[in-house]
Amino acid sequence: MLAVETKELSRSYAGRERGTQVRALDGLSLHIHEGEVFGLLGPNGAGKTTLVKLLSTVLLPTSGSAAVLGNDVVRETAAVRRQIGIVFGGDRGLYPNLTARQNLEYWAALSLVPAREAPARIDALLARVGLHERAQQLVQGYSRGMKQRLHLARGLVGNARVLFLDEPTIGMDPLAARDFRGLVRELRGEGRTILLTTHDMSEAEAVCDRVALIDHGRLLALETPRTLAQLIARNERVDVDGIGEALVQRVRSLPGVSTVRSLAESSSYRIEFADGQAMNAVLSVLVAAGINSIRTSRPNLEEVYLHVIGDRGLRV
Amino acid sequence: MSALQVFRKGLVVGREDFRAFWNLRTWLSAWMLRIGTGALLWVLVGRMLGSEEKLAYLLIGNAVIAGPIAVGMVIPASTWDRWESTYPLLVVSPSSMVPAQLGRTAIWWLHGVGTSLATFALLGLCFGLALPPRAILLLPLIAVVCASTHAFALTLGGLVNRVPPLRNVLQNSVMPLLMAVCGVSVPVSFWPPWLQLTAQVLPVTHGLSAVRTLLAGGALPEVAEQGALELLVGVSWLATAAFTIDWLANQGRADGSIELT
Repeated sequence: MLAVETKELSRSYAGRERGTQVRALDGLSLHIHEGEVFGLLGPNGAGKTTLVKLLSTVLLPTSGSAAVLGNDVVRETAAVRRQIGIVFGGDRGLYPNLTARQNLEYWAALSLVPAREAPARIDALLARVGLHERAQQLVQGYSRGMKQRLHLARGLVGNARVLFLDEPTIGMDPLAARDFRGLVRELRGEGRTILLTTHDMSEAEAVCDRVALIDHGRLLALETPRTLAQLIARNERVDVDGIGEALVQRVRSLPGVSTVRSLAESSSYRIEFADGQAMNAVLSVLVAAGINSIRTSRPNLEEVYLHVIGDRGLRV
Repeated sequence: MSALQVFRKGLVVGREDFRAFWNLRTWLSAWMLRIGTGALLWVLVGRMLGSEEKLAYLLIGNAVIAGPIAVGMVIPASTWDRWESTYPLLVVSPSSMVPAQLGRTAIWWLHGVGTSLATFALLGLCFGLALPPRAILLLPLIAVVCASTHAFALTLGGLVNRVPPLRNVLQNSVMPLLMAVCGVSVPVSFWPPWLQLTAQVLPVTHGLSAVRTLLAGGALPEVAEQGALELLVGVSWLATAAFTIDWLANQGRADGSIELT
């Protein structure tokens, strides 16, 4: 069964100028399988959070449809809500005047966890996220990382089969973020489906089975992190040291070479290709010219992200 | 059962909200000083008019209304989930938001009952109001008045959740309106017919009338009847609140006004 399915899903908002509409999501069709960790990447305003809001029933679509575990998010809202958990990043979304245990007790009741089962489930969750010893402490005294772990426990208290993590590691220090990702992997191991929105490429690479790039509410690419990286540089790029201007010009003129550019703060050049067959010819020219410091490398997700989104970058 | 469970856990959230504002010492000193002096001012007007009857009228009216004024805190409290970003999580929880909101704000009902009774004691002491044994019935009557105000304020809280910045404006507008039209300092009959009719569906009017009848030595069945009318008004407002809280949340889903953070 599909954990999440959207068909031509769209959502528009009234624009700032009277009578105008802004399309936050524009005909998005996605399939997310059960047990998958699915990453959603895009700049601010790309439509990531809008998608999470639609799937979690916080928002109604303007057109199209979406289903979570086979339940339509508009017509079968109650069934969807029993199966999902939402976790978002930042300090908010918790009751700071309550202890961690009191927070979870409240959300357990709201998640319809039977009163007899709630204490044991809360104990297990607190232990799992490493907050058992701080369970009686007020949340207002928690660090950002501790709050985030409590957020995750809150999202799990109803035993959600599908979890929406909306930029969950935002503002966390690297160690806390690494621990958090470890928890995400554990959840995948339990067969839960996770939709993760993030700006952090290394996070997407570390935990996601597939990654979708979206911008302006549209799907730009949908692949495994590795395949996505191959989308832009189907051929590996070549970094080379110690070549003179004449050789640079010669390489530039070879068929299939897209760019030859100087790398910042070094004497190296990076050669990228529009045609995968061009690499052999370039390597032959470089070797014939006596160049012996040649490296090939693959782009990481960040580079893919910047290539696909283009020069819009992280601007809103 | 699940609604009761949510309500009970909501009480804990409300209790901690209250503790963030008051402890017993500050409640008795700062809060009661503020409410007591406000009520005292009105009662002194009765003394200046030189009429024991008017003094008693103003004293009873202002002691009772002190409770609903305190309960008015339910209006801004209904929006606190917005500020804490827990509102979207409540909206999408499998439970209805109604028991959650009712539970979280119930502490302000208790606050209101305590405030009204303490104001009665304070003003009674200052002006030598002799309370007959039947005055013990003040407790259930004031509890009902504060409960109906709670339900009314919950309805307004649901509405103001659509425009949270107006929460304090609404509280500070509606509570004086109740003071003016519900027979606190001037009889309901003072107002034009349409406003008199409006007062019949507002909290306080019938309950205050029951308190006046009780303390004037009126027949207990009449007191019970007026108290029951107050209860009916409260139940009606509770039904309205139950409908509007979830309905307005759904409106927020449609217009996109519910943010995740």
